[in-house]
Amino acid sequence: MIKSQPPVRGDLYYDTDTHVWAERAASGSIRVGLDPLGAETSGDIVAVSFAADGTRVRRGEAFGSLEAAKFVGPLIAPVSGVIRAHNADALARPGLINRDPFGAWLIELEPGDPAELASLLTGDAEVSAWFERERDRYRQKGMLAP
Amino acid sequence: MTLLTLGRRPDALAPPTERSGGMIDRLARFGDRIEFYAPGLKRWQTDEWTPIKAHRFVSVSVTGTGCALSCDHCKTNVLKGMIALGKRSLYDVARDLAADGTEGLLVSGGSTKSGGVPLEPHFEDLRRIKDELGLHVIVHSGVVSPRLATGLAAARVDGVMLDVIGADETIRDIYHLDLTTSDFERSVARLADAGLTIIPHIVIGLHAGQLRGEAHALEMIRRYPVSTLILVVLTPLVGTPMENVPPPPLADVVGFFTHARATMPATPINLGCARPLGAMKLALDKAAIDEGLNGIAYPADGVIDYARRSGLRPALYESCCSVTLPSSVVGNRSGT
Repeated sequence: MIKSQPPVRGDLYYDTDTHVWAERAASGSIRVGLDPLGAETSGDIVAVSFAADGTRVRRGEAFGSLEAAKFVGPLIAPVSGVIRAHNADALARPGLINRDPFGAWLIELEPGDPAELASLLTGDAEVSAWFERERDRYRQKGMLAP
Repeated sequence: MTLLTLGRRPDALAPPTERSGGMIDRLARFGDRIEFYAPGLKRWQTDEWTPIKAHRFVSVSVTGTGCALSCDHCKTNVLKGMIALGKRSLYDVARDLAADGTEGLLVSGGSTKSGGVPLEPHFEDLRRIKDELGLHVIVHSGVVSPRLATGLAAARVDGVMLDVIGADETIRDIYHLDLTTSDFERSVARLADAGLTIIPHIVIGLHAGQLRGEAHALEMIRRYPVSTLILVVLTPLVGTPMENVPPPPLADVVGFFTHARATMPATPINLGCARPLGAMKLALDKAAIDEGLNGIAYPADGVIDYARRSGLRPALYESCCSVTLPSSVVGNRSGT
């Protein structure tokens, strides 16, 4: 259960269908994680698995799976690329994703098409507005407490 | 895709070489059909099964997240995943859901201090939901008063679910109710007298992970004409006093599966949606099949195939495991 969520980060890139965030690292790789709404609406996360390092995934394909109190299903890649690393801490202690969704990244990708990142949502104002709309939508659907 | 292992690789599942007595008896009485359920109570999909219309069966709380009991194992967490009425009537919420394609409702809610879900103000709405919208309606009753049983029967709800607790100390210490097991048996009796379809639940390990009154609950339930017995397993929830309580030992739970199957051989017994996740869920689901249970809600990945390899014929329903909505059948998996 999440007591309070961290403020939304406008410097990241978000897949608005899956609530997965992406961050461009200085090395050129893309770090991927689950955003606070994705984590909160999943409930307590008890297990996570990732495709093996070296696996090539395309945007929209599963790079792993997640098992939580209110969500069981695949984790979807926001961009295409080759998995270069996974977060062993998140794998061993999946509850970290609930507690610190921006800190508990999931995988790092070597991007196949850097232009894909530009198609994701980013920017303080845009991301904040989207989060508010999503919160309302989840509340109406009973997925978040009023 | 090669996944990093979490000790739960579906392809590692192999059925036992020898069938249990429960499985043999179950095959003789019920045939080789096993039912799997995926209601829209949470977002869920596995490699084996992606629900087509997840909101076909959803849950609504008539109290929102309010509950006078706030029991140690839940602390209203379960209510947070349900659709709240807000300022709308139950009928209005149901009408909107029906317009969006929902075909069945679990009408639930928090408890009053006397242990019942406050459904009385909604009797007329329940009747209208049945008569005017044609939805399938299951309710969570909690402890049943004569008035509640009569009202639910008049509303013609399709089924009533309630947890039957078989130990006074569990009622007192976990539910914080000044009641005894007799009150729970009386609840079942009132539902039976009213001619309602009864779907009792037994929460295995409810007493902080220990098995206390489960066998007694089973003894009480077997005296009445219940339609389906649902077994669920204590799932320690984060943010509750039980968050650090270990779930009941797997061997104890499996032992109770065996006991329940033997005690109620002619009654369908399903493994309900509340149970620990991860490796324990996979082990529980596998045991449910091995011990001859009839159905499983939200089967762990690989379990549908395990059932097939155990000689069973899986049928998939996008509904609650207390009902088999004919329209919610989404597939039969014979493996052929």
